[in-house]
Amino acid sequence: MTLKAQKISKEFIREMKHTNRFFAVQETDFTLESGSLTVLMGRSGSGKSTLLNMLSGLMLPTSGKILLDDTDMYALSDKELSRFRNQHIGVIPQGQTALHSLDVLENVCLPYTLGGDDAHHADALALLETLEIAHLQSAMPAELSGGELRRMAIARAFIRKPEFILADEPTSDLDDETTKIVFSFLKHAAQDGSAVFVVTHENDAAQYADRLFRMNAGSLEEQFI
Amino acid sequence: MKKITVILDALLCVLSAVLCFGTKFLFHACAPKEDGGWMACHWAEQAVFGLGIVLLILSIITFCFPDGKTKSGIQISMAVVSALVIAVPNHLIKLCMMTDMRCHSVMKPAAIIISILILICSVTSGMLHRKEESQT
Amino acid sequence: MKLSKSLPFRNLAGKPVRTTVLVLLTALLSLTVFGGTLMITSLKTGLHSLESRLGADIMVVPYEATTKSNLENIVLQGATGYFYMDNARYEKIASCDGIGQISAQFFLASASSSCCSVAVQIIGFDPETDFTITPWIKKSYSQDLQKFDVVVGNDLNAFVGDTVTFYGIDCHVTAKLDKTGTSFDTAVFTNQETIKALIQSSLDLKMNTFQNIDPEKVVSCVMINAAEGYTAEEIVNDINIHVKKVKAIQTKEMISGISDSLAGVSDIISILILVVWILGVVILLLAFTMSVSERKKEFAVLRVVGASRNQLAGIVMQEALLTCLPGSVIGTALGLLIILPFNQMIEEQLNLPFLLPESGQITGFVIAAVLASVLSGCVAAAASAFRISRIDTALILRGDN
Repeated sequence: MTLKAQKISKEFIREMKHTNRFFAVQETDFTLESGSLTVLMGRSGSGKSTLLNMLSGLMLPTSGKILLDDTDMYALSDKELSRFRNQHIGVIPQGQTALHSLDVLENVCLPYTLGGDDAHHADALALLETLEIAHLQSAMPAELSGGELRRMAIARAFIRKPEFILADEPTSDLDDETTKIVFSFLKHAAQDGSAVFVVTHENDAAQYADRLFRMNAGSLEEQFI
Repeated sequence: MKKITVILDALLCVLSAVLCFGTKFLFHACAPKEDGGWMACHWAEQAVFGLGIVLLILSIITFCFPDGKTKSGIQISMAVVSALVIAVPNHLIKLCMMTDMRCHSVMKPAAIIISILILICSVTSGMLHRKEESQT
Repeated sequence: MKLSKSLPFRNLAGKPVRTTVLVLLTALLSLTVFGGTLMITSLKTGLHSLESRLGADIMVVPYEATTKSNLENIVLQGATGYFYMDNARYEKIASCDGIGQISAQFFLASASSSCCSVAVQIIGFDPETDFTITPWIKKSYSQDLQKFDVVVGNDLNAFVGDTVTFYGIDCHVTAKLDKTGTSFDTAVFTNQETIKALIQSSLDLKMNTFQNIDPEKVVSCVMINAAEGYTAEEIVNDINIHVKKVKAIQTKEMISGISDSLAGVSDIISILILVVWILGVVILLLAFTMSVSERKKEFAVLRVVGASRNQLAGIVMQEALLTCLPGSVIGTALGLLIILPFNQMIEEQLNLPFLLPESGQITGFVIAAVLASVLSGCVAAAASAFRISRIDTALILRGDN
C-alpha cells in the first residue's frame, strides 16, 4: 500500500487587522514508501506538521488529493477514514497525548479497544520492553515523566503494526540516549516494511533517514543523502 | 482491608446509633396520655431502643476484631437483629389504634427504613469480609 | 468488553467528585419530579376520594353543630364529636320538595379509655335508606351488618375478627375499608341498631355529654341527594327557611376550601418542580460542557488513534447515560422511600386529604421520572457531544506547543 500526496497545498487565513491568507504548504507531490524512513526537517512554522496532519487524514488539504493506492483518502466517509487510520496509520502527535483515566498498558492498547478488538497485551508489553518502560505498565500517566509519556505514545502508534507511521517531533522532550533508542526503533520499523515519516528539527535524525526532506516556508525540497 | 468495607462498617455504627437514639429523641412514638400513662406504642419504642443498643454495641465490636470471619459473623447477627427490629412495631408489639398517630406515621416507618439499611449494609459488609478473608 | 473496562466508565471513575456531583444532581431531578408528581396526584386522588365519600349533595345538621364550628372538623378533619336532633325534624326535612334520596346518620365518639387510648368517631347509618356509606362498605364486605358488627376505617389498627369495646359493649370487626386518605379512615361504621345501643350505653354510663336524649328518637345528620329537576341550592334554601333549628349545607361548599388549598399546594409543587428542573438541566449542561472542554485534547488523541466523530459523540453520551441512569434511579428510589412509608405524616402535615394512587400508577411515575431525568441528562450532554464531534483535531494537538 502506498500513501501518495498529489499536488496538495494548505492555505490558512489569519484573522488580523487585514485578512491575511498564506500557504502553510505550497503545492507539492509527495509519496511515502514502504520500508523506508523519511525524515522531514525544517524550522518551526515551516509547515511540517501541517503536511503530516494532511497525510494522517486529520486535515483536509486546500487543493490536491491524498491517495491510498488509488483511493482518495478524503473521499472516504469519516467512519471509513477513522477505521483506516485506526488499522493502518500510527500517528505520534506532538506534546503529551495520554488519556489520563487509563494506565500505561491500557493507553498503549487503546487503538485495539477503540476499534472494538481484543487488546494484545503481550505485544504491548514487548513494545514497552523495547522502549524500556515495561516496568511502568500499570502506572497512571500522571505518575510519568515527559519522556516516558512520549515513549508510551510511540508504543501506542506501533501497537497495531500499521503500514504507515507518522511521527511529529517524536524526540522533542527526550534525552540523547532515549532519542537514540527511539530513532533506532523507528529505523527498525522501516526495515521491517513500514513506511515511516518523521517530522523533526533534530539534526541527528538525518543519519537514520533513508530519504531526507527540508521544508522552508511551505515548500518541500528533497535533500539527497 | 478495603476502603469500602471500612466505610460500610462505619456506616453500620452510625445507622445503629441513629436507630437507637433517634427512636428515643427524634422519631419517638406517641407522647404520654394526659393522665401521664403510656400508650401501647411506648413499649414498642422501648424495644426498638433496646435492640438499637445491641446493634450499636455489635457494630462497635466489629472494629475490635481483625479477623474477617469474626467480623462477618458479628455482622450476620446484626442482620438478624435488624430483621427483629422490623418486626417489632405493630407485629410483635401493637401500636396505637389509629394509624395516623405518631407511632404509626413516624416511628414505625423510620425504624423500618433504618433497619432495612442496617440489614443491607451488614449483609453486604459481612459478605465482603468473608471474601477478603478467603482471598488472603 | 466489560463495562468497568470501557472508556466512558474509566473516564467517570477517574473523576470521582465530578461524577458523584452529576449523579446526585440527576438524583435530585428525578426525586423532585417523582416526589412532586406523586404528591400532586395523591392530593388530587384524596380530594376525589373525599368527594365520593361525602357522597351526598346536601348535609343537614342541627344548628348548634355549625355554630360550634365542629361540623367541618368532624366531617373533614377527623375530629371526634357528636350532636343530635329530634326525629321530628328529620320527618319535616323529608317532606320538603325535590328530595331524591334521604338517609339519617348517627354520630358518637368512643371514650378514650375504652379500647385504644384515643377516641374514635363512630358513625351509624340506616341500612334501609343509606346511599353514602353502604356502597363503600360493599367494596370490602358484601353481607349486611348484624347487630354489634362494625366496619373499621383503614387507618384504625384493628383487623377483621378483632373485637373492639365501646362503652362496655363488645363489637365485632367484620370488615376493614379501603383507604380514602380522608378523615373517614379513622372512623368506625355501624348500622343504626348498633349505634343506638352504643348511645344508650354511653348514656347509662353517664359518659355522653347529652343527658336527656332518647336514642330511638334522635338523628345526628341527614344526607340528601336532590331529585331530578331540582338543584341542591333550591333544596338547601327550602330546608333552611322551612325547618327550624337545622342547617342545610351543600357538601360542595364544604370542600371548596379544601380544593382551594389543594390547588395552592399543587401550584407551589409544580413551580418547585419546574425551577429545580430548569436549574438542574442548566447545571448539567454546564457540567458536561466543562467536562468535555477540559478534555478536548484527550478527544483529539482519540481521533488520532482512529475514533470516528460518531464514536467521540458516543463516548460523551455514554458518560451522560452512565451518570444519569444511576442518578435518576437513586432519586426515584429515595422518593419512594420517603413518600410511601411516611405518607401518613405528610397527610398530617399538609392537613389535606392525601391518598396514594394505585401501585400501577406509581410504577408508571417511577418509569416516567427515570426516563425524564435520563432524557434531560442526555439532552444536556448532546450539545457537548455534537461540539466534540466537530473538533479540529490538528488545531487542538498543535495548541499546546
